Amino acid sequence: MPEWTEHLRPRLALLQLSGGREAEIIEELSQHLDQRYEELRTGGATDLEARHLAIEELLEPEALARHMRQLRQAHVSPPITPGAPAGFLLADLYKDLRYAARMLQKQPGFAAAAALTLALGIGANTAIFSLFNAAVLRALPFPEPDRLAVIWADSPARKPGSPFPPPANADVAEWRDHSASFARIAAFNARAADLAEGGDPERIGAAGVTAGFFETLGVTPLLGRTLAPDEEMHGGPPVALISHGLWQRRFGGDPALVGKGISINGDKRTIIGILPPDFDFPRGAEWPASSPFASRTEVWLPLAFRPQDDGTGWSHWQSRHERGLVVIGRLKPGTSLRQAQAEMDAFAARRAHDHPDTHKDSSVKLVPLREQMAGHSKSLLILFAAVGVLLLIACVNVANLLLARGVARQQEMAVRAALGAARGRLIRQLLTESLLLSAIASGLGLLVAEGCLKVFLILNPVTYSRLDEASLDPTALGFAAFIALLTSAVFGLVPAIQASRFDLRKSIHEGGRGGDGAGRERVRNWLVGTEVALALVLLTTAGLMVRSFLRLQAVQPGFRSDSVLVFDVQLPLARYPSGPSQVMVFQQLVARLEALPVVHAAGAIGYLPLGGGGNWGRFTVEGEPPVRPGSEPTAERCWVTPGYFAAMGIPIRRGRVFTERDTAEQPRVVVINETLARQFFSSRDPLGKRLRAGGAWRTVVGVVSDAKSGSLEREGGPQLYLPHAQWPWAGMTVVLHTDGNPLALASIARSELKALDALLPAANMRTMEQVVSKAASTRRFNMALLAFFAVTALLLTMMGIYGVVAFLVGRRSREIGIRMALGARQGDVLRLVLQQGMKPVAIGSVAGLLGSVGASRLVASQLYGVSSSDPLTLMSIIALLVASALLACWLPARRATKVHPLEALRGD
Amino acid sequence: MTVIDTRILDRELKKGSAELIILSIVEPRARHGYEISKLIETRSAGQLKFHVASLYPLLYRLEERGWLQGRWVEKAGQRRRRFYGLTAEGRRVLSRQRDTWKTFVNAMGLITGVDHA
Repeated sequence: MPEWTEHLRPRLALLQLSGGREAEIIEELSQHLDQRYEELRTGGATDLEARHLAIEELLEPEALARHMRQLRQAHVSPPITPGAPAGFLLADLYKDLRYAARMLQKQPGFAAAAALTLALGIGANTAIFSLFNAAVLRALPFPEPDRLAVIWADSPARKPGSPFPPPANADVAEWRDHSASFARIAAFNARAADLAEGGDPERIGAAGVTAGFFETLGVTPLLGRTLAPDEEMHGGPPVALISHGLWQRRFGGDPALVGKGISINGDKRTIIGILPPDFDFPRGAEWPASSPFASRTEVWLPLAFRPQDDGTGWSHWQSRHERGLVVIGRLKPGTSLRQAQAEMDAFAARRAHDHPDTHKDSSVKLVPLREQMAGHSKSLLILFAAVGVLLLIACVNVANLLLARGVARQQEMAVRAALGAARGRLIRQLLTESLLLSAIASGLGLLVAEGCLKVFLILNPVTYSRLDEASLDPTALGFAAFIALLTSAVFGLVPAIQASRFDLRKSIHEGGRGGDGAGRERVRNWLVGTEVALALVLLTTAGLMVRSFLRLQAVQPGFRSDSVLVFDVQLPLARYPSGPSQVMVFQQLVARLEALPVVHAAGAIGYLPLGGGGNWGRFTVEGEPPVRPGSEPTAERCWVTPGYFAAMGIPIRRGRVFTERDTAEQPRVVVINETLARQFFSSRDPLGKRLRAGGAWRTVVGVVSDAKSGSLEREGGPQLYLPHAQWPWAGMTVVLHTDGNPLALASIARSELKALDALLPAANMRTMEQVVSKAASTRRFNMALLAFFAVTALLLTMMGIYGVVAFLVGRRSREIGIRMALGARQGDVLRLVLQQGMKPVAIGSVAGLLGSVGASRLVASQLYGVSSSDPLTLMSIIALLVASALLACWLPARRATKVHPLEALRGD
Repeated sequence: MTVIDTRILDRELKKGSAELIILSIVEPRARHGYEISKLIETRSAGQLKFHVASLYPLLYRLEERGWLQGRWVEKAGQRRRRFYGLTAEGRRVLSRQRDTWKTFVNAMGLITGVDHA
């Protein structure tokens, strides 16, 4: 039988058949041709004729291939030959990815180390980004938020960095009526709302707002309506709007609530609207302490200012003295902030001219609402920079790992290049491996990010108000993907370029030992130097933050914080309209609490130190030369019950504190703090002297030591203490000094209050330690995070140094062996390796030191009690880094000394 | 009368009747390639003839589509041979193609006046 294979194979060669399939087809067609041949022979054809006719069945040479080309079996993909000449981009990418996956599978140790390192970097970045996203990017859920601005006052007396003061009421009234730049202007202030219906009595955050407040923000209620203009003034109908959360929580989402009356602060108010679920404005943490909004506002009441002064002392719209409103405005379309600022500047100049007593040197400052609400973003940016540095270090480390691996893969690269792979193609293949690595890392990184966010919530700093809203939303996921892409380029590119640059002939000739090792080593040294420099910057910054925090922890607030329980009581004016009635309730309450055996002392104060809020007023000292009205000194005014000083442990320096006899009918008295005594009485004895404050002359009866009030960091200013009986106030914070755990007293304190007035809630039950801790929480949070990032950076850097030195030792083991054979001692070898290993560390340290100086300047405003170039911090950080680097070098160096000369020589 | 989707008709005509022929030939039982080509030749009284270069690619195509199933069958003392049989899907396709074909020929008869019966 003739052999047909030689005729068939060339005809199939044009197709991409798999080897097995081709053999099958040849077998099948040969049988057909055999049968045809036999048939022809039987029919009398000669051998030659029969062969010829049978082959004619195959028609022209291309016919078979033409008919088979559209079949799937004709397109079997060839085995992967990485780096083979490019075909289609996507097909190549797929091939590269499959190959990369196989490479990573083969080296699970390398893959795990690299992926975990990167995951740490990507995760930390994603977590901080989520925070940033929640606090800054998502914080303004209002239409056209960039048209919203906050209108503050300003004066040259304001210390740089301190918040802007609010404008005077009369100015706000004028702007609302006459501003040309703003489409709407609204004002609001902080309130509290005690609810009695729908559950236990509860104190919730509230705001007093003008009509147009919701329209200015661009918010429409979910149900009901907003305030009508006639409802904003004093004496208008008693109405309120409530948040979606409160509506759900206390009223079960009852849609018929709108139009019903509920009791707020003892007043019956009609609910006119329910706000949408995402509306959460204002939030305490986003505003200066002078506007003490609750962390969450859930009730909005009419501002209810009087149109003019009616002699009652209540706030009115014509006051040029009173400054307590937060003002927001929505710019007219097409009006820029600068134009609006110009209008306000002109206004301020006019006011200063017309009313120098109240407005001399006063100016107006417009702040975009976005900026206002992200006021704390500076420390976030520092954290962002820190995680960025951490990610860079992670990248450098992985790049180092890749470089080391690149040496081992040199031969593979050489073979591929010999098979015709272009250099660009090789780089692409290596970059694909990096991409896959960072994709895996970003998957792990999301887990890290989620863990980080959980830890953030536990640390719960007050100023990152929207922390609870931080989540891995699509924006954050997108960010993580972007970071992953970026990292793969950063850590992958240098090794890829390095790996593809080689002398083909030399590489193959040298086998696995690698070609130009010196160049590669240089790159790796550079990378280690960079890593050391970056780590040093991060460590110094963290060191400064830790020192600041320790300093802050050592700050004496001037009062007792342990074993003190505090809670707020707000008397409803409807039931306690007069001063004496308000004084009486607190007197009785304090007396009941003081009578408890576990209570050492009890008292109450208007604004609790470090509790947010406060009251400042002007005063004059009798006998001092008169000053221009409006430029008298100011002091913080605290109205307290007699037991307050004992309960808070504020030491009395001279004279006495208040007693039960300092009533409204008795001569007015005042207690001052040491700062006021020092500043205004210097050498004189202040006792018996008189000051004018709050419209009356008061005799100084005592001097107490200073107590921190606004923040732990700031030095307190002059303070005036007034007896509550002579300065009645409806909202007080009760302070109890007790034995042991103060919170154990909470339920007893509640029941005592209930016995006095069943409808009064004891709000914000907390310990003084918690109050102080909250005041330091942001700093603690920043410090803890920075310290964690810095330690991670140090560990990564140590890993990096270790890797480089270990590699160096491995590569030079032969040389070391020869040296030892020639008489070098272990100490010499150790010195040689350490010298080599520490060189990049030394260079990196110098660069890092320069970087630290720059970086610490940036964080200077975040430091407390420590200079940004604090030599102790710098020195200890450098010592720490050098010690860590030495350890990282020493481990592989010691191994080098164990090299046996003979083994090293034989190893080749 | 079956109403034909014009797109189907067009496609069927383009492909010609080759598929219908093959499917009909292997309908009663599985056959090997040479047998198929012989049967086409004899049943058409020598008027139709499929060459190797077109018959086998067609068989492979029908196999890839899942209409035919090819199986190597070994018999004692003989070389193994590849037999092609109809799959369930192939049977459905065949019946559909037959209908289409009948309708088409019918229509052609009506239009051209050529009596095909």
